Amino acid sequence: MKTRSITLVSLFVAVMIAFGALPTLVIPFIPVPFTFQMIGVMLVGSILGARKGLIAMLVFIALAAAGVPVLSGYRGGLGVLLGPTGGYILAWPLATFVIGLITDYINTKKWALFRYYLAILAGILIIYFVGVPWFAFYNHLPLLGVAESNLPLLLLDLVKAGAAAVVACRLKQRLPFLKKSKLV
Amino acid sequence: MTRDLTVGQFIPGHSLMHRLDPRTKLMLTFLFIIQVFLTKSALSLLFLLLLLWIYIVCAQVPAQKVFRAVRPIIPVIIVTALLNIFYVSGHVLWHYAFLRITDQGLFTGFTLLVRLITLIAGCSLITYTTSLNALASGLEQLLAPLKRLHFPVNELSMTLSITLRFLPTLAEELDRIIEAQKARGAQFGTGTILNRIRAFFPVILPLFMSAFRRAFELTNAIECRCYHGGEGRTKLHPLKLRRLDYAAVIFFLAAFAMTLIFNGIRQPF
Repeated sequence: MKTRSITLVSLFVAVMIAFGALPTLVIPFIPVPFTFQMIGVMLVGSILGARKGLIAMLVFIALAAAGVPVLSGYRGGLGVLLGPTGGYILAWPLATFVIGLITDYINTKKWALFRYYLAILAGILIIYFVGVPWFAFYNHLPLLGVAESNLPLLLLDLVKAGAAAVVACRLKQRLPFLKKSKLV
Repeated sequence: MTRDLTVGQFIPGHSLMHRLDPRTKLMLTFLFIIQVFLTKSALSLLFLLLLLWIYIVCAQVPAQKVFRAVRPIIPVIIVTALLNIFYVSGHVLWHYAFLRITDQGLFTGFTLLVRLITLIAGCSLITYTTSLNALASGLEQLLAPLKRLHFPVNELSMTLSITLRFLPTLAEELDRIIEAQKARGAQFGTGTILNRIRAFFPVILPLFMSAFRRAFELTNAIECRCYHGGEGRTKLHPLKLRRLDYAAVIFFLAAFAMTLIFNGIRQPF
């Protein structure tokens, strides 16, 4: 890896941690906390691209697994990763990779914002497709019931995705070096 | 804000757990997690709670601190325990309208409760007794065998240390940008939800721009010094396994075996 890639990856791991330091909201009757860290996930994928984004996310997960409280609400440790809401977090690297893969192919300015939004949406769906069954299976709860209780969170995530798409779109169009994401 | 971003809750000390090698601690934490998931019977659950108490005493960490690690997941625990108590079928103990409590449901709820608390509390002990640098170098050494598979272990440890250095920089920069935008008349935390979302962009875009600039300055500095963080670099404090580490491994393995034995003994549940 080039030195520049290393510093960029480090920077985005730090960004992820910074988003985790923002306060979390626990919504009554939904056992999964609402976090700002999801914006971090969306940004890492859409700005860094597939390969570097994946590396950044794996480093982040490794930090969390080693017990550093980098997850939102100062959580950390394998206990959280393998806990009931661990599925959501373990899906992040995959989601980042997919978001990166799609955004790497966006090269027109036409409808760019909408394209970024769709790419991020794909990532969000992956996170829920892994997280919801994991949670249901872990607690021996019916899958549909858990899915239903996650709907409000999904709606909030759609708003967050909009914000992330605007940031990613503007940064990528202004900073040409971000476009060459194949250069690792 | 700057204070909020200091990751790590290390409490300096000289307890048994503090003196263990970080590699030992990481491996034993992993073993402990498997043990928690294998715990099934009432007797082994009680044994798990006893073990947790022993570990907390060995780590000499105030009990409130350990509780603080558990606090964020309390809503999760309560909701899932309640759902289990009411939904799992079994011998009915009490019922009212559509609500009924069964012996099996009660036991499943209790099992989840104990498992989750020991899991989170047990894993939090490693962060309380190990400094971030020790954790990072322990992780690096544990992953070292992956070098054979061309996994960039050295780059990983370089990434980790740069990341930890970037955190205070980001916090500082964030404070500065918020002040600068306020001076230009930006308003934060007021108005409708849409306005609050809009207020997010004038902060985050400049933050990224300045962060990228910092990252490239750092890249230049590293490259000018021909630093690569790879082969042939030595450590100031090399990690060494001691007798205490072997003793801890034996203790954990014995505890693991006890859990399996307690699972096997016939019990009411």
